Amino acid sequence: AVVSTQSGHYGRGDARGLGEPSRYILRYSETDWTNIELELTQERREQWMAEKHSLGFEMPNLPYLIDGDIKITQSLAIVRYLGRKFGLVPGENEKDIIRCDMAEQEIVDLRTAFGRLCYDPAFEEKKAAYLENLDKKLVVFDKFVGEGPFILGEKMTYVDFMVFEFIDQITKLAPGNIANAENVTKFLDNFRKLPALQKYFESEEYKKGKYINSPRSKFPGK
Amino acid sequence: SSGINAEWPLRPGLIDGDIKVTQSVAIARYLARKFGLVPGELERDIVRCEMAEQEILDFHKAFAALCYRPKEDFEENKPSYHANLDLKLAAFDKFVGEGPFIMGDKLTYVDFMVYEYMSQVRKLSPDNVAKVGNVVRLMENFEKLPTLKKFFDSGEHQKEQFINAPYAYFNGKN
Repeated sequence: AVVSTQSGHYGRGDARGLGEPSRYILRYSETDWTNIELELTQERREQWMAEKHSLGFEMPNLPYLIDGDIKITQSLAIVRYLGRKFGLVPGENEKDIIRCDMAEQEIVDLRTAFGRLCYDPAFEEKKAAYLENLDKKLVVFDKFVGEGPFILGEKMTYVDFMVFEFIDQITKLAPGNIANAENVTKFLDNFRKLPALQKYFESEEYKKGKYINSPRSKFPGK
Repeated sequence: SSGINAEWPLRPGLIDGDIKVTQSVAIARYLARKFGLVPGELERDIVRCEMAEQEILDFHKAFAALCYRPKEDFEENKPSYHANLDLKLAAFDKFVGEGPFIMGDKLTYVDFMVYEYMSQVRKLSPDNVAKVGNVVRLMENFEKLPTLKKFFDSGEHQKEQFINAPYAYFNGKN
């Protein structure tokens, strides 16, 4: 059984963080998996710090994934692994692979900038400049996304889960800015209608809502 | 700039015939496939390679984040940066192991990333990197690669160059 974890954050363990796209793939795949929520109360955090080096990870970190004797850290390595496992990959065509990689990296850039703002003590002062830059990025990204339904047109890949989750996160902060990006908005709407994800979207877990970032950040997002 | 890629006006960019790539990681992976500097088909190998790719990027991100801080913040954050660097280097060193390269005998694109980004980290923090023997050995192995020997012998890589933008507090040349 595949084991995952929430990105741990001090205070609450249920933040979406960087690991949520992988959890969406697991939900979508309808495979049997265990989600380990690390409530990082002080004692659970100390427990993690004590145990992290004895779990068989070469470079202990959060989030992690265990699948049989495969043990992975680094959220991007995890999501790409699950992509391969469930056939959510671009295929052999070089142009498809490149398009997929570029989308992946652009989303990483967008999420990194968002994360940097959310944890910045000067959040309020820097927000306007962040949003201005976001708008410029969204114009380009929106054109790139195009008609869809997925990044690679008809073929769904792991990057679609990254696009969905991270744009969904940023929407919490900047709903109007995202709404201006037509193709991106359409992409999100279509993704929310995926049959295999309806069970999750109707679940108590989803409806309860989750922190995006640590509750101690400047933008917890819940 | 309108850039080399109509889809994304970004630098760096690569043009190879009618193939246009932006995003440094996408470029590195493309060149890896083109020149066979790839981990192969075994899942275990691909996972190892991709973890290494992400770990070295984390080193680079932390390094860059420090370097672009204004002077007071830079000096204030340097000790905690180094404390964290030592922890990460220790784990990474164990991961690197015997080598000669990340994937053992097989040279892959992540070795190029490790060499370059760790060189940058080393510029600011030579004592910290010197302590991790497997990493140091990997970098020495890289410098001995026959087709790169000419470049390294020329000393061009030791010429003073900017690592970061000139306006960064630590730009690699100061």
